[in-house]
Amino acid sequence: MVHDDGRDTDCGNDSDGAEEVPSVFDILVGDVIGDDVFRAVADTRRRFALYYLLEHREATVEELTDVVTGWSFAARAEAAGPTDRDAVATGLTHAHLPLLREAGLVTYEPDGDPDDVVTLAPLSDPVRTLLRWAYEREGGGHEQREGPGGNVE
Amino acid sequence: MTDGEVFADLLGEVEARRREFVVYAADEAEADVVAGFDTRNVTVTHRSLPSGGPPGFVVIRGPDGRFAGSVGIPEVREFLSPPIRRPWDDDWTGGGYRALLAVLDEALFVSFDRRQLLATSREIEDRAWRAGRGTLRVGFQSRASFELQLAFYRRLAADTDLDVHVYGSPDWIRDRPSIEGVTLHEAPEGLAAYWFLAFDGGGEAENACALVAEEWYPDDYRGFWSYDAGTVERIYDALGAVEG
Repeated sequence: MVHDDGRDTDCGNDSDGAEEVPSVFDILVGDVIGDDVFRAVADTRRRFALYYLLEHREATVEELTDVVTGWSFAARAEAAGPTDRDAVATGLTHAHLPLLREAGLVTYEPDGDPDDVVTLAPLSDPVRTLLRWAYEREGGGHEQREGPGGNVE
Repeated sequence: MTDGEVFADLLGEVEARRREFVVYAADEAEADVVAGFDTRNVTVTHRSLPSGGPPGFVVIRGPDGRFAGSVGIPEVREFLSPPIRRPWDDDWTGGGYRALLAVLDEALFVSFDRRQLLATSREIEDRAWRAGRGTLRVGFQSRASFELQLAFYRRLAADTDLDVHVYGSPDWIRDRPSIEGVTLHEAPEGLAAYWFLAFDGGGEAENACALVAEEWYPDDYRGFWSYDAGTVERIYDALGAVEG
């Protein structure tokens, strides 16, 4: 077994301080996250928008609409057409993006232009932990089909 | 036009209409999921998703740049290696397959094999079967491929009010014994090379659909399918001339 003392501690920088990222259990039952944030992540479409922003930091409303439509339908093994996308577009503009903004999770100038850029706000560690936890559990049907052990014969 | 000219024209037009496939996936290698479609008529872009989450998806944008549809990557993979079923089979679930075909309507495919084309053909036959009326026109490239489907076409003709027309090269269709409810036609040389199906929708334009494919290499087909009533009508006009 080779131990490189210098490198081993590299990834430990975050825990230098006394602050510890709470467990998902603590996040779910405690009061580290506000109700507005819980409400914001309680909806599939808002979560998919956030997951995409976690990867790209920013996206136009146009692209977020494509992503939320394609991804949320694909999670249910469904194809989406233009009418489905129109419904998602309306929901995003009038309900979901404003809610995400009010919860302090995204910033954008809401003037109804599809080219408007939505930017992920700086997120606290508990919010990131919660989103990561939710992300890994999204689209359960596929997970069961494709996950390890799913094809045991 | 009584030869394959109309098919060649349609293929050319479809090829000229560019589409964009945006593949959203954690792994860039997944972009190959759409490799069966022609890069001359399709632009493929990849956008990354965080790893460890639900499956990715493909967004299709039409020639006008507008959103034409989206579909999950697992469904595209399944679509490209489909089980072959009959409309009356208990496990037939044509719905998902149909939605996928609608999303990929008039995208040019270049490397489909027999099995993929059979599955697509099944969808058109299934529509005709469910409509139970109207006209279905089908071209077979060889006697062998027709005989394989014979039982199905007998049943289609016997169980529905469909008007079924089958086209084939004169060298095999001329002497073939007749089939009740199925009209056999000698196809001119240019037409006999194509695998095609066209259903007029049985009085409902939104049910009209067609598939046109040519075998450019053994078991390697290029072509398209369409839910456009105008496209189906053009195929009908060309075939109508055959009947004279």
